[in-house]
Amino acid sequence: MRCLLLVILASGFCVPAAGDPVTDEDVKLALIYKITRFVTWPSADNDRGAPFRFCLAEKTIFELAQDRLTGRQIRDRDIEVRLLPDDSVDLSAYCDVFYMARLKKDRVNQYLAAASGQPVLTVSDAPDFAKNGGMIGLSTRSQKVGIRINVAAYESADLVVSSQLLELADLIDDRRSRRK
Amino acid sequence: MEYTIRPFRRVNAVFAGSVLSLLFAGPAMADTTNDLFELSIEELVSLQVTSVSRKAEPLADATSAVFVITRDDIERHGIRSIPDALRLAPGLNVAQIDANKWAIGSRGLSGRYANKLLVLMDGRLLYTPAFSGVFWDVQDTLIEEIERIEVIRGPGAVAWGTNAVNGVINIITRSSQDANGGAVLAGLDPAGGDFVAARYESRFSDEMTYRSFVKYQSANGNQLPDGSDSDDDWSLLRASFRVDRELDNKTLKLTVEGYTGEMGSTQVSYSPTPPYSAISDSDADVSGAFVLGQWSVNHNENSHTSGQAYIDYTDRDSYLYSEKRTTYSLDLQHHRSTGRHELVMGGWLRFNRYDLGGSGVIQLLQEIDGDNVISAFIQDDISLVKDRLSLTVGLKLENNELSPDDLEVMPTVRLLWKPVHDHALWAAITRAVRTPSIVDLSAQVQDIVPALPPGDPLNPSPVPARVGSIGNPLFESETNLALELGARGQLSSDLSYDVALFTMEHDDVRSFSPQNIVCIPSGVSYIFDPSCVLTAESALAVYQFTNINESTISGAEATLDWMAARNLRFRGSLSYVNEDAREQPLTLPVSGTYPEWQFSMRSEWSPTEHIDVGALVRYVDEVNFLNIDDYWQANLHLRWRSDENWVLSMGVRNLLDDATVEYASELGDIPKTAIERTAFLNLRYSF
Repeated sequence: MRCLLLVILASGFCVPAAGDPVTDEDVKLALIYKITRFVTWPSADNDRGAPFRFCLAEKTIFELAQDRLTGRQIRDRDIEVRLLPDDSVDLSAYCDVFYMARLKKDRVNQYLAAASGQPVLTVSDAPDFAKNGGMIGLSTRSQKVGIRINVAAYESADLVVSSQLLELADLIDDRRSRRK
Repeated sequence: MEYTIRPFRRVNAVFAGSVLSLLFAGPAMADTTNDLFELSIEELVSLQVTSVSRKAEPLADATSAVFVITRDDIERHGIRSIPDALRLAPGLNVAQIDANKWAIGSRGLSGRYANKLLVLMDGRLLYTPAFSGVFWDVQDTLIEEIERIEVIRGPGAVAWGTNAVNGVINIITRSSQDANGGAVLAGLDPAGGDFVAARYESRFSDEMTYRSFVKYQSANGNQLPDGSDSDDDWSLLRASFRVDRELDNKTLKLTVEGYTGEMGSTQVSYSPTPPYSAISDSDADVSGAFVLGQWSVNHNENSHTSGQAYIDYTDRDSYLYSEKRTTYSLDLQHHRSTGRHELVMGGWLRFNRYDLGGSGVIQLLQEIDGDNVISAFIQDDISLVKDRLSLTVGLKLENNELSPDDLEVMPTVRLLWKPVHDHALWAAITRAVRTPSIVDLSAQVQDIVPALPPGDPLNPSPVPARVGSIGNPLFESETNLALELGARGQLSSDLSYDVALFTMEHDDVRSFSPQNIVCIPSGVSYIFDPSCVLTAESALAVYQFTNINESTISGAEATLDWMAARNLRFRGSLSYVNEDAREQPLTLPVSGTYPEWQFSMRSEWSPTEHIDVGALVRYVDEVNFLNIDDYWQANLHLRWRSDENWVLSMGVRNLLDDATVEYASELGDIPKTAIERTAFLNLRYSF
């Protein structure tokens, strides 16, 4: 009812009031889910129909993601939430998206190094993630979740990100705009 | 954001954020997150989020009557003191005696000198061994620093130790790991205390963050029932510094804090001239400081060890009573899960050193300058049927120098059963102990209360009847055996409940038995020579602390939590306590200090993204023993948050009455003070 009222008032947003606590992690999972719609993987043609592999490296966030994402689809592909068995797995063979949440900083850096150049969308809420080479960084500032995108990082992995998403995020190392 | 697994000792209540509606991660929460996936990216990035700390164990699995007061609760109701925050929990009786004194208890047996609640802040004991109670006036922090307050009603003896007879209150402050800059705060609140404060939080390095704050607060007094001033004004200055370090699987925390101030107080005591009652100034100078270090190591996902050490100094100086005390404490805990068992074990060493003094009115018969406490505990949580039935068995042993027994034994057996998804039943039998305090053992107190004039119905003698008490070196620990039952669950997607029933046998209850009546100044005992009163100025009745009374206390607490809309929530609770005290003839009564019924209803509403409204209505039944009438009380609070840096809040406390007498000191030593209605305004600027 409130949403309807706000839409009529032309704000277009339906914002649950703070009386209903929405956790930052739920918002982040929903954001990643939406963000993947704006990303194209190099193997897109071959992947049609295959499960969309969503990877995590920590057990408790894996359980939360399973709870929230199982049964949903990204581009008509069923989402398969996976927990990385160990650090030595071949990321590009195992994952389409790798969400590095609830991990210590040095592990995040290790994974970033392993994922470098691979067609795996790397996302994390670790501090300075996009600055350190991660593709998509999610950060909480003033109680809202913001998106930071490192253009060089995803371009070097042959991923393509729609400009619609780029407009909504803070960009780091936007070679594209420098080229212009 | 990463959180370390919390030590098991706190596991019975390990939660922040909106508790009951998240209990079973059930339908209420799912509705919200399903909606999230319908939103567009623009909508998602404009949502207000709260960080909910990871639960190490769901609150739904607690085998005691637990409630967690969250930072959100505290902010929505404009709370600015810890006792006020405790009013947000069901089943506690929080009564304000005057501007700086409180009577806080649970399940019967409350009072200014109530001694059956164990109160801690970040694991640091807040009660004084002098009378086993808490001086609430100095238990304070910058309210913004409180992350949550865990309230456990009922005996929490195994994990927490002696004194946790009727409950445990653990105040937990925030880590500095958000490192999100600084803030200046100020508030106008004549009755609760005007204040100014500043805090700053930042990062030393990737792993190390710190925060510091300074706060000065000062309050005017209230009024006596006749309208005159009650001289209970006070002021307190506090400064604190804390460092948090997280590296690999280890966390380290260090806090240094100090305070100094003055607490105004008047004392009603004996006067040698009619009407034998005098009001005198008994202001206290208070100061203190502590250093607290905590560490924890996660060995692997199934085990971790944690520990803490602190040195805590308090100094309280008034003409009537002075105490300088230093407590040294060390505690260690290990948690391990193997197969069906979750084991916690640990131990505690505590050394108290003190210097107690007083006027002629309070004296120690024996020199007691310190005591040592050593304790150990073990608890096993056994999963009998996975996710359905579990049994907990625990034992704590404590050796406390003040107690005549070599060893206090505190066992517990608890059961948790989840017959269906969304509902849980629990039961517990626990033995708890309250060890003797210094006052119980050796204080001689005289004339701290007025005398009964001759001609008073209770004083048949021709001279004023004075009162004194004397400690008992053979005073024993008070013991308590409690049986508790509880149920909690989700009635529908937005309605949840939590019910607890209890019955407790208190034995060896402290009481005062008449020892002697002495004619002053001759010193002759009235019992042997009644004619001594004919030439006496006064007669002094001496009571000795003794353990001969017993009482059975039973009752129930019920809470309902209703999420009426996504931005509107109601929580109501009702509690009932029945005391059946079996007192030996001639002993002074100790029961009747607790209201039979209490009711509270609170509501949190967020009409817009920037505005929050909090309301609290309470009913407290009369307290017969102290001649306090029953009362209704209402508080209202409104908070406005700007998009960036400003928060403005205003409210009214005690909306319904000009001034209310909520409680009185059970000794009758403090004039009955009426707590005034007050309006307050708070401002916060973050940078």
